[in-house]
Amino acid sequence: MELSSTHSAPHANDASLTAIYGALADPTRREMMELLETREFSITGLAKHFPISRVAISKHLLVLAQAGLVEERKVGREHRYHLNPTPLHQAHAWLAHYEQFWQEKLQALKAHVEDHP
Amino acid sequence: MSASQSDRINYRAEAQVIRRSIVLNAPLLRVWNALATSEGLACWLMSNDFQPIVGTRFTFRAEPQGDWNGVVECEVIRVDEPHCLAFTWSEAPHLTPTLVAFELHAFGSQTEVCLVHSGREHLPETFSSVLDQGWGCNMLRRLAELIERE
Repeated sequence: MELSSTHSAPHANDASLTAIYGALADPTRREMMELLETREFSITGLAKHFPISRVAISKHLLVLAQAGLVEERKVGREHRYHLNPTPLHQAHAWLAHYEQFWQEKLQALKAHVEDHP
Repeated sequence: MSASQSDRINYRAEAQVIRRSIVLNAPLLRVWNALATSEGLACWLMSNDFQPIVGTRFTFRAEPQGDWNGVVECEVIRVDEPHCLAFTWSEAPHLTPTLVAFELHAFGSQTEVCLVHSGREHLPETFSSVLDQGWGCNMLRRLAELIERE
């Protein structure tokens, strides 16, 4: 198995990947992440985009924050949240690595069975 | 950070699952032997001490690279000759294993191999969902049936 030099080792930190996948499993959180990627939002600002309570927004933000996916900045008395994309790069790396890995290996399987009766 | 289309990570890839299928110009049993024997796997995947016995552990070994020692730890989950083979896959002992599953479909003199490699967040439910419900493989047969209906 050749690990492409452009990818980090495929496993990174297991606990963080589990948290990331858990965070991404919820469609509301995925939508929140798309918003937070564009600019920073306060809870009030986020609440305008979803038919859920501020408490529910906060719970989702907590899950995202625990996964390292959002960071907080205080502006005056307001807390604002923005996306931290770095953990997603690790998750993406697993997928990208094994997509390429299996692409190559299945071609090798094909060559092996077709050329070796 | 600006989100250009090429940089944008697909948040909606909530299924961290790899699905690939390939059609091989080889009969079913030859393909099965390439997948379900140690010698066969060594020819195209990696050197190994695999045995087609459910519950046994084995390893694949490749050249160490970076902080990876080159060893993949596996456990055989399913051996349904000659159609289904599945084993867990873990690059390091502390990592929750992922699942690699192969499904073979004969179609005349050809064999279609369908692979699913599911990410960690799907375990353990993935074991049953992947192995028992199938994953919409058997493309050649479905296409043939569509053509026959015309």
